[in-house]
Amino acid sequence: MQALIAQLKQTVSSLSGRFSKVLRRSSTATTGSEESSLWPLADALRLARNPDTCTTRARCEAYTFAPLEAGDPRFSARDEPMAALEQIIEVWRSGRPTMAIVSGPQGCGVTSLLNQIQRHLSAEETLRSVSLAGRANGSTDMYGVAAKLFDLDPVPDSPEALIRQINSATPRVVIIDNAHYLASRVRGAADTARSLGSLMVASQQRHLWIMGCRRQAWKRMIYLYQADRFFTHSIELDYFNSTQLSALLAARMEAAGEASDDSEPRDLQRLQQLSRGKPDLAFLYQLCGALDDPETARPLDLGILKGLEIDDLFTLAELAVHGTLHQDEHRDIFRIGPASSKLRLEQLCNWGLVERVTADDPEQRTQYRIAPLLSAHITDFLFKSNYLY
Amino acid sequence: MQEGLLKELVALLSLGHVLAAAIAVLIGWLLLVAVKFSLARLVEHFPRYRLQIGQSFPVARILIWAGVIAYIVFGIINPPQEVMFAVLGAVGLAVGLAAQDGIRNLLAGVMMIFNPPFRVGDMVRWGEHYGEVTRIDLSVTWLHTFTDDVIMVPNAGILTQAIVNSNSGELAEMIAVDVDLPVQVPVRRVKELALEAARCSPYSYLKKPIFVLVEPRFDYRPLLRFTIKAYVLDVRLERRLASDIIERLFEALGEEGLLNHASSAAGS
Repeated sequence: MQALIAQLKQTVSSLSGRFSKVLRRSSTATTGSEESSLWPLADALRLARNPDTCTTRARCEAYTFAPLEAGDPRFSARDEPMAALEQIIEVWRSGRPTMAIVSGPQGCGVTSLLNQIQRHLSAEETLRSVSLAGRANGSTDMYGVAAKLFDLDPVPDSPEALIRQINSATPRVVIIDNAHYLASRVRGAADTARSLGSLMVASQQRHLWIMGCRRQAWKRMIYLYQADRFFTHSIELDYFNSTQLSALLAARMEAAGEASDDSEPRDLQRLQQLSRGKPDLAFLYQLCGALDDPETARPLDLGILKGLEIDDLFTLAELAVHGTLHQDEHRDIFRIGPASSKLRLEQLCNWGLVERVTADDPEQRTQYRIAPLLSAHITDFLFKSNYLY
Repeated sequence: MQEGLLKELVALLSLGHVLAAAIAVLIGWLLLVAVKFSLARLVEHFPRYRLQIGQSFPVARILIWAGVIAYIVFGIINPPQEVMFAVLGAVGLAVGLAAQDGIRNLLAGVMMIFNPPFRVGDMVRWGEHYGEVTRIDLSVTWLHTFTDDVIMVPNAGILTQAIVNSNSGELAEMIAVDVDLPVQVPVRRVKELALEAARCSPYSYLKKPIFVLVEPRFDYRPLLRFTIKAYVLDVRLERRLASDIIERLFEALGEEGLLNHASSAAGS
């Protein structure tokens, strides 16, 4: 009996200790005194918009978040996919019908990789590329894009005539980037995607079609149109592991004229964990000096995600797949009124999870997208919560 | 003999033993609360696996209570064998006679825990009732319907009556939406619109196929029944998806001027 009571006392004291610890933690979280352990989202996003506030302009340029052009010495750590692309070009040169898809999560460097193809073509070979800037408004728009790629003016009046003319054009490598605009829940999107697909399939004997697409959108195209059946090659990119990240940072440091330091593998691993291997976030940590002082590298504070309502999470999931959404498209997908749509999207912007993309042309509507810096974290969360699959 | 047994029993049930047993029960209960809390946290972290995680609680509960009872009997009271068998026999007989249905439900509950026909989180139809299994107790199972009713179903009833499990431990579930239209409608176009309505809904699970079936019906006049079969992302959203598909389909039919034909009711 005595032993039991003693055991009980011990258990109760240990439980109360744990309970008070939990209480302490939650109270510090609410009062904001946990500042030292998490990086507030607003601070990170502000810094991402103006990185020169924490470092020199030269460093900011060296660590640019923008896609790299062909032959840029900062392009590194993508040897395997590059070799795969070269092989695809060889297959096409040998006369076999070829269509390739390069897919990867947002911000992993699909565009930079596609930009490098130019270096692997001979002077006689023609390369034409287009980066889709928005969702095409029906098949006619898509035929217009294709006609432009083959310098056909005016656009042939029937798909058959267009295919005939494309097949009589000089063989070329055709790159379509930002193909995530083809995967959409919006009505009529399926016809648009199929119309482009039919052109590609009908002319793959002559031309090499390479499409760059975000992973979630590509998955959706597979589910909706069984798109993978039509592509002969698929290259799947991912975010960078710590070894690749080390090479990536070394190239950037060289561009910035910094002496490459030998960072501890442990620090690189920590950086990789914090950024999930996503280059822009890794660069932001690096610009803030995360590798020099690993203690200051704090994980992003994304606690806000746990408090989101189901409709907000569905909005984020559709933004993750669509890339960007206009308010009209958002309304169409969720069948809500303009005020509700605006309210939901703007609130997500206020929380820092979504950002507005305002076009230069004032006639163009404002688009919304997931804050690029947070896309890996948000996508992971949505996947775990079963909003993405 | 009986008197001796009773005396021995009373001697065993001293105040100390009763207190110790109460403390053991309290610890068991606290443990159970801790398990429930941990599982809830796990579900928060891994919502995708909420059905699998939810399934482990009934098992944990029965194990913990079995452990507590075993500890009280063998660790605290520790009765001699003859007393134990005699008490077990007497209690068994009394409880068996007094609570036949209760015991039947209890045994059914134990059987269901080790050979579950459904899990916590599954959508099941039992008789007229359809809802999400929110809790499996030892003697009853609780369903939460879409009309926000909570239904208590005796476990023995579940084992003796057919039960329909709509998702069998998966979050995605197939739903069928029936729309009756007059025979004059252009079937191919309506099928295309129905497919698009299902694909465009943010609640549909596109990883699984969507298809539309057509069959003739007669309800005062010849009709065509279009059954749209699609998977919902999460069982809890099944009504939302059904309603969303119907809304989209009718809007599309209206835009194409086919709504004049489709004045009949749609149901799911």
